[in-house]
Amino acid sequence: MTRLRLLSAGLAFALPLVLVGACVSESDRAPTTFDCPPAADWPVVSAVLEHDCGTIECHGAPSRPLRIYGRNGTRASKDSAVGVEATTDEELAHNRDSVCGLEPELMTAVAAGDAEIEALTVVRKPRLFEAHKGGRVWVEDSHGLACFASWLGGTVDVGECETQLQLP
Amino acid sequence: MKPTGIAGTSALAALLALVAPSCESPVEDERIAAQGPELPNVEEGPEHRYGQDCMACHGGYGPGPEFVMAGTVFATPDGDVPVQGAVVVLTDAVGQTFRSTSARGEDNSGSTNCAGNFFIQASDFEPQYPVHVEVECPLPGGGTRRVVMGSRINREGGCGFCHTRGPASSTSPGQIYCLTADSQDIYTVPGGCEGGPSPSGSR
Repeated sequence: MTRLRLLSAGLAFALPLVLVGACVSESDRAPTTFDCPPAADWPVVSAVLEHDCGTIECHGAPSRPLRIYGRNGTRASKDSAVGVEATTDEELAHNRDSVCGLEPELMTAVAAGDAEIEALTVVRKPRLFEAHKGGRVWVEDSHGLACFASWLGGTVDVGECETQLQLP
Repeated sequence: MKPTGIAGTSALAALLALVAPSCESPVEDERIAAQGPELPNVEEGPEHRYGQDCMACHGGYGPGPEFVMAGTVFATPDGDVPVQGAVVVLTDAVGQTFRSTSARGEDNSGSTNCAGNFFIQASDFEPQYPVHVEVECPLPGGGTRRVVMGSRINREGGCGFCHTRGPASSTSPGQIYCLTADSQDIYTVPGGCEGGPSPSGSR
């Protein structure tokens, strides 16, 4: 009888562990990475995001998701002031990490042509396909969107990016 | 079982009581509280709280009359002297241009008052964001200096939300100003002004 009780208690303890273990598969543990387009192409794309999204009351604020550092937003270093020094290399790297790290699986799918660019939150929000406090920032033929899409596609259309930067 | 009229009314009242607090915003409450109390001898009005985040109270959530845009213009980046008579010019996303002197609001000539404050009401102009901003600063010796904001405004109508007092820092572009720090003495504190600094510059 005592042996039976011990066996029951052991089972009661072990069963949940087995069940919990079953929820964690190898694929869940594997890191998901996105082969972020080269940093060399990033500065002009970052400049567009800083211009369109990264002002200090929006994604340039430290409390905002998808934080964008830069000249017009919160600075990554206390040595730089808002609106004074140009965006630093450190800030460019942070911005690239923000964008590439937001939805790496989806971004991989978009870059591979397996999903539409509108699947990305970073596009859905400014297109206002999803509620966005900042409203509609990009329409279908916006130069900013074309710039971002070209970067994701592997070849930055610098002309589109610079055209967007000329806009107020 | 069908509730009686009283029970039904009570249930409705209880439900409303539960729902009503959800309209409060602790973030906005904190924003209002951060402004602190009124200065002694300055009543609520167009000249009060110069340099503060106007839209904390005037953005629709707080107790003040609702504005769409409001702020304070100073003479220099780190001084306390406000600029009276500056005109704020807005150009919005659909190309509408609005000069603050076109404002029709009560107690509002449109240009900055003696405390450096300006405010625009929804009845004057409702901009479609993003908005481009310029300030036309009257120079004491005559003429005007045009100051152009380096970035667009994407959503925040309260200048002081981003432009906190003092010079630029890693978290703020600093207060709005007309001239560089070297020009400190060109403007003087307007006299007879209830708000703003005292003429001795002590407030």
